[in-house]
Amino acid sequence: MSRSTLSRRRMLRGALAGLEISVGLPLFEAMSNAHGDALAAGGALPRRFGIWYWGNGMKVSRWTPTGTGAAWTPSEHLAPLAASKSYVNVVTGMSLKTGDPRAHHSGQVGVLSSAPLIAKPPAGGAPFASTFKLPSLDQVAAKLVGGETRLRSLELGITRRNNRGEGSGLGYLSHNGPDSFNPPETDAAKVWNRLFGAGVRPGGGVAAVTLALRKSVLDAVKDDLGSLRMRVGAADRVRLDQHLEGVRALEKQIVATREPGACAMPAQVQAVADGAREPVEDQNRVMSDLLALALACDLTRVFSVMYSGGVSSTIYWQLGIGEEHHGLTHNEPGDQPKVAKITTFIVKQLAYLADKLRKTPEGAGTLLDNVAMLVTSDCSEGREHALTEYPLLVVGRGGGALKYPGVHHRAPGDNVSKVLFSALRAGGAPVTEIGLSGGKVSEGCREIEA
Amino acid sequence: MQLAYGLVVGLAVTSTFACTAQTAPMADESDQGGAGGHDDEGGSGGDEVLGGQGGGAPAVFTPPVPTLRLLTERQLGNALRDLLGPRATLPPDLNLVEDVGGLEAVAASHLALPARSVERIHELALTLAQAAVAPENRAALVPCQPANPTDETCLGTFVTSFGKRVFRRPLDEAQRTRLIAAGRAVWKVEADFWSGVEAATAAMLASPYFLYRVELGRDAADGGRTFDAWDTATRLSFLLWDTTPDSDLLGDAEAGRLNADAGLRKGVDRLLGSPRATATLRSLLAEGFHLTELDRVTRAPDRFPAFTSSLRAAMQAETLAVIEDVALTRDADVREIYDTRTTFVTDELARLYGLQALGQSTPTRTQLPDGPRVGVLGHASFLTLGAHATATSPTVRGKLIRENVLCQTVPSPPPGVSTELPPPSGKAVTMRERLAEHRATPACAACHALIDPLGLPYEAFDPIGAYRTDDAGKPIDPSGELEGTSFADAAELGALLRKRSEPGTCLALALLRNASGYVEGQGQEAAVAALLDRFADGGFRVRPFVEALVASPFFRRAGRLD
Repeated sequence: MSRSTLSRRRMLRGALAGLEISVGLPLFEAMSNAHGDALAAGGALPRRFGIWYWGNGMKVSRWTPTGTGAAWTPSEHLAPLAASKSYVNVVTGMSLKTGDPRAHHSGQVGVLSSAPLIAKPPAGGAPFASTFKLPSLDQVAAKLVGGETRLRSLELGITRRNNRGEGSGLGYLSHNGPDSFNPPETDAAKVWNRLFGAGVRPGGGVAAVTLALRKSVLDAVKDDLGSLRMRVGAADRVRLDQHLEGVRALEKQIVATREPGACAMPAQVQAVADGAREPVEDQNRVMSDLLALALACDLTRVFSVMYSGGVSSTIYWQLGIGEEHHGLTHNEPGDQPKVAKITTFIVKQLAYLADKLRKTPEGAGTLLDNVAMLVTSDCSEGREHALTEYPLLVVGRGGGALKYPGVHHRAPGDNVSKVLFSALRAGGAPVTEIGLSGGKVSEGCREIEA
Repeated sequence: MQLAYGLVVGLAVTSTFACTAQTAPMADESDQGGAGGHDDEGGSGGDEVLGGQGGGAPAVFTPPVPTLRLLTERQLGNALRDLLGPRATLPPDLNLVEDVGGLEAVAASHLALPARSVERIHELALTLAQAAVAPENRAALVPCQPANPTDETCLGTFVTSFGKRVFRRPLDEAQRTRLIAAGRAVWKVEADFWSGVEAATAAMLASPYFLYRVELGRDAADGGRTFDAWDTATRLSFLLWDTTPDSDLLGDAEAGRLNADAGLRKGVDRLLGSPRATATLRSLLAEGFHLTELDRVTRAPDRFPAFTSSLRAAMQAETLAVIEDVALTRDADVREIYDTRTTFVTDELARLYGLQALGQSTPTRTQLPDGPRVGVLGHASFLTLGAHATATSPTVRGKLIRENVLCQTVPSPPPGVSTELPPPSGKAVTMRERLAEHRATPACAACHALIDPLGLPYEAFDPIGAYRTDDAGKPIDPSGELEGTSFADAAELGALLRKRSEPGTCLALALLRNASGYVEGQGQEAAVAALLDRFADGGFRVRPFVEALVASPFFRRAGRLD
């Protein structure tokens, strides 16, 4: 079959009963040229930006690898990443400079948005509450590249014992701005529905009437928003505009008939049931598999995995540990071997995703070749909520923008925000400046850039 | 009886961080952000001291710009059930907007819906609409029989009648046309009458005219705006029943019966007479006790085996029952909740309190014996919320009292300070001793001298509210101090609170803000003072206060639009 050089949009847009539809197909089949390494229209394969985040930090002495440059040796915590090591850039020694140090809050908000937090009145028994001042980095990317795909961004959650009582700054990763967040989805079945659209049946199509119904509802709601907008005050106009943006995002998601077998669509996924013994590894596997699929099918190019948040109280029964994570970071004495064990286990979950992305073919290489995934936490040493020796990995090749094989770079005292900048750019978001105050940077960390 | 509620307590400190306990909102509301930006239109008085009574405050009531009020999750659930029947339920964890602290009703006036929430709402609307047109539900939903599969007349009749209930007022022509067009668009693909109804229904449920309370009023001669009859019906219904106006109330609005005071009072009486009002007012009064936060509390089963999920539920039910009994059933002075010995316990809770089991798994009335445990601050709910996983927190308990009983703002700890308690050391083993550092260091004492002494009496109760006499092997000293008055234990503190005005006015302010949707500020001081004076003069009773509230300008008037 010969390929004409149709633009991506023309190839994928079709018409069904006069409705506009868009379909995600595996990139390779749809758009690669004969050599499988570029879109037919002459552009490069799209890059993806993601964040993989866990709460409560690590043990610095067990995190920092030995050796620098390409010849680094994985440390105790980073050992699970050995198989994907060539795709991992490690930066150690940096400090988070976004300011206003508040245990867990300033780390989480600072590293995820490169900006200081907004303090909020704490509720109930909490000592503090916060929200984000700026959008989180995934939404920075989504704003720039999210319009290209059916889903602007994808937010996934793995563990469920997160602290939701101290404001959205601690409760959620992905933010659009102050008090406006995108909650991570922890129900795998709901993720499946979101990716493949409600009403899509495996191997089958979507009823045209379902599509017509959804579209007619969106049209009516858009008009209602428009008419109401003319009657309200200034502050309300801004609120309705945000509502309208949400409706417009839904319009992009209307999906039409899928060819059976396209995009290796899996059978309907069941949610991983929660329980007193949280099934973290099962959940991580299912979610990671779905994420790989979403990226491979180009359903989105921006993602975040909130493995756990700051002050996470997950109990790692799998490791024979009965105390919850956050409490342990403060109460376990000495060198904290249990905390160390938990941290390495968490990296093992990350490694599953990294391996999965590495084993998913794309073009002439792998999906991981075109991903830049920032991996970080809300502090380094959990006991002190330390913001120095910050944990930072950038996983993936970033379409060639990142060093490959990945390096270990020591940068004592340097600004964490530089790595955030590099990750964003490597992930395809053409930023020229990010962040605020101490987190405001317009250059990246050269040593991990190709 | 004049109230001196413009209370400022200053404390000379050696640090630059001044801690003053000011009578202020239940929480700092002035920072409500969302995409709506910071609302400075006079409605967010925030943490300013409300002007002293009398001299200086202008008598003309100047309310803020009216804003859209997002339906809370509870209101959404109630409205959907009232519109579509008992099977119309919300999915768990709908979480449309974040709990940003402060009153739900005030947050609802500021927050915007992020994209994921819009998505969730649309999914919900589509699901509910699909169920609504199931064959067994059609007769209840649509008042006419379609003459043919694309009967626009019947669709129009449905849109008019159902739309009025969903949008809480008659539809204008543009809205009506829009909804009929939605049905027609689906008929183009499949000529089935009920698919058209489904589309129109989903469009109504996903509409901003349903999801937000659109109470914008009309321009009035005096330069402000007044709420019309439909606005008033909606405000009455959400204040007292937490749901969309029923057909009686909509009929009252249509007939103009809510325009005059007499008609409005009748409406209030009817609504107040229903158990729905009891349930609503009880939740509103309890909001400051953070009972839903108890759902997030965990305790290690080996340390606190008594802390089961049924015990937790009993704790929440106890506080709700006492508030209902004092404030609503008996229509008594609401401050009695702080020193009453009447409570409502299940067997599990009775066991925790060391009481005779009554053989009941549902909350049953009983009397607390003489001792330090009195009132809602002696409830396991408050005591558990004011504790960490393995230790009590006098600071948190004291803070809860300052903020939710006395309506005073407590500032956050300064940046860079670790809030971790030092571990027990040689001389400091009891919690009181370990907290002594708070009061020894001047920079900490500024605030902690105001907070800790209120929480320390509750050291007589452990992290799940069981009575104890020792802490780390030493006897507990349950004494404390409030603004110069010492008290020997928690029971004496309860009695002290019962005699002060703040514990009453704090609850009244919560109801006011729920009704108005904003924290009162400049231009409303005189009206607030008048309302609170009436409340105190009337014996701090909730039901008369609600009537006064509905008759007040807060309920009837709004500012000009900008």
